[in-house]
Amino acid sequence: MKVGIVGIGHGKFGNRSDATVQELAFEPFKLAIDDAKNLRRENIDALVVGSVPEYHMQRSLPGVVAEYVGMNPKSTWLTEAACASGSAAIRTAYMAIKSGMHDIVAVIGVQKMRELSTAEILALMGRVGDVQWESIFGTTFPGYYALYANRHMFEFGTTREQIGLVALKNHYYGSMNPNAFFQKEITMEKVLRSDDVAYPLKVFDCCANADGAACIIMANETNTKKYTDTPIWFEGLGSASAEMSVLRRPNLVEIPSAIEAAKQAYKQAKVKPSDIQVAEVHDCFTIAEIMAYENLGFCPKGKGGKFIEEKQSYIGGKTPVNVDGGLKAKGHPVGATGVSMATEIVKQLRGDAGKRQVSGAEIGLTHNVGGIGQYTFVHILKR
Amino acid sequence: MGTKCKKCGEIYFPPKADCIKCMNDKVDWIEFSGKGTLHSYAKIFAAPKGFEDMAPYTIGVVDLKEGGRLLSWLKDISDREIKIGMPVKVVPRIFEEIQEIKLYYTIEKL
Repeated sequence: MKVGIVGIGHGKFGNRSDATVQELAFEPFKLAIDDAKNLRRENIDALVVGSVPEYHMQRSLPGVVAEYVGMNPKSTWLTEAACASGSAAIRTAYMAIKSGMHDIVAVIGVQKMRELSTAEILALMGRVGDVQWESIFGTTFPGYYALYANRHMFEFGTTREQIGLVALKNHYYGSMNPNAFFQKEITMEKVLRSDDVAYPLKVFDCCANADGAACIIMANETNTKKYTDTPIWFEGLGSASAEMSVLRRPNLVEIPSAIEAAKQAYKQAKVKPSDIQVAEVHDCFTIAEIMAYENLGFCPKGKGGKFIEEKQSYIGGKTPVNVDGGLKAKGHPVGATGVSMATEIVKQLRGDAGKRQVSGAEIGLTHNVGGIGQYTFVHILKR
Repeated sequence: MGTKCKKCGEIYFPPKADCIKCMNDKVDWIEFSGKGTLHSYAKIFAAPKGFEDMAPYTIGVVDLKEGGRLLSWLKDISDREIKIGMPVKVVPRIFEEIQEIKLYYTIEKL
């Protein structure tokens, strides 16, 4: 029995002081129901919410979201895996459907981050490292990725400019996405002249904290065929973890959980990295996308810099990556990101992506990393 | 000081009360030389809450000679002198000015 996607919805990402967290959740939920064929809210069995609770004043989010979107008394729960909470929610929905416990499940990824100051978020995210032995030295999220960037540059000769090219590409595609936080192209000069955040990373190497929500409605094979004429199927789902403390990782040039999760997903889907025609990867920082090319097998280890330099991750290259702008241009409402990635792949595989369409794409992949790689989920979807 | 598993001999820094490798809960304290090499570094400009006044500051990760890794601040090493792979020493220090941190360590030139 296969599991498919019958409907998708995506809200505007950015500074959304106009909406509460439940109002943010409502937008893509309604769009996703309308996107499916003849689906009524009553047909949905359960609602899984992907979100990171620490950012919200509101406690116990699924409760408030389920009430607001009118899902009571149906089953609802939260999944949390830091920045990969959205993909973790998709994985639990897949399990719920595959087990036969539920037939149709809505997954909403939602996050409201801009109620907190940047310094507060830096402190909060810095504690995604070991609070006893690392955070006391004022580690930050960009700081951790800067450790990776410096080591990657040292071991493989990756250049500052190559890392910056990721920002150029993602802002270029972000300019074609009306839901993106930033819809303007940028130049290398702008990247290199932007303020330092954590050397060697600058402001334009970092994704922005954002508010936003996205939704997909998943169903078993029978219901998928019933509620859509353009089904997109889950073919492979990989999930893995890595040491909480980067001090205990084998190295600082790759994300081991991503390598393992990708291996599982490729195996289940019976495809190779070269079969992937469009990918959404977790570019929370530019260096993270470079490592993703390598960890997913789009290019050999250490060659990620060259891959972007040769424009292999642009449409027309070997593997187009983040052609919706990625986290970099869309903004990164942490719980929403994994679900947002899935909606883009669905659009691409349906051929509905407009100006940023990868022509003829039949197999797509999402790569959603939580924390500094403590969790990674890789999903492979097929038309 | 780090720990060494009494059963399998695995060495830990940061120290651990239990051995991840063999799941033994009996460990010995062992003294480290403090010597190691710089594995990577990052200069923090955008500081988290509570560290704003200190910024910019540079954090480093050290591969310790005896095993294990450590993260701390680089002290008295200029930006131009920082080289991944350079030999360094970890020096215990008393931080009078930081209430929460009484005794800690910095990464310095060997």
